[in-house]
Amino acid sequence: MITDSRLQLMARLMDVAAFKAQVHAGNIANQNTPGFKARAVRFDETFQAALEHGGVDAAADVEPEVYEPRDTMEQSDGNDVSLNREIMNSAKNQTLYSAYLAMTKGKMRLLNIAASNAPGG
Amino acid sequence: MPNISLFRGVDASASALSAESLRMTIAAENLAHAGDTAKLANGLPYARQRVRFEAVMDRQGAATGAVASEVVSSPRYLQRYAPGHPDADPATGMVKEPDIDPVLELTDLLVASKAYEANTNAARGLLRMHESALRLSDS
Repeated sequence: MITDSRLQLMARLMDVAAFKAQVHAGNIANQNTPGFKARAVRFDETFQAALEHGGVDAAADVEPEVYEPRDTMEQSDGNDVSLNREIMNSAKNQTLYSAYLAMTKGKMRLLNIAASNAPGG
Repeated sequence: MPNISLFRGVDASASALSAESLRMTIAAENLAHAGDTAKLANGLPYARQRVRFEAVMDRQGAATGAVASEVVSSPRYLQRYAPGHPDADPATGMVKEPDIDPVLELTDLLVASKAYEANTNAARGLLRMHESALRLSDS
């Protein structure tokens, strides 16, 4: 059984990035819904802190949390989605996702090499 | 972990696409009926329509990201005195027409088409993310 903690961490980060992408899509979908408040995901800071203090195991337990930042200008209909912010954040998030994927691929390639060069392999 | 389902984000974009395209259809319909005095079965001319957007909530009352849309009519009319008009009220000589401002409808059309574009891009981004993860096994 391969239990590589860094691989698991990558899977976790990709899960969270996929969840963030969902929230961004929801904000973009509701850009014209009266009264809708933009939502954001709090994760990076808590994850970073857990990684520094408790290591990989503690970091893997950090849950993403949805909140309403309410720091953008509200339109007259009560909607506070900033389309520019959502688009920039989702682009950033997609790039990060690709980076996690590339790291996972690299790690798996190493594991493949190790597996195929094992005696009797 | 809050539920991540593969297509929840895409579903949100899809619901917004149908909402925004409904809004475009209705705006075009309103534009076409600006100044239309012809009486319908109810004895009144065409009533201006609006599309109402509402965020879809889950059972816990949190926004799911999807948007619901419904068409509501706002029967407001302008009246002018034109006794010779075929649609004029024979007693008063007043003609009724729907209260439609073409500038308002065109703005609506523009806003909706921009939003539509933003949602197609969001959906494409999400699908690309999932696709790239599926290709992980190729390496």
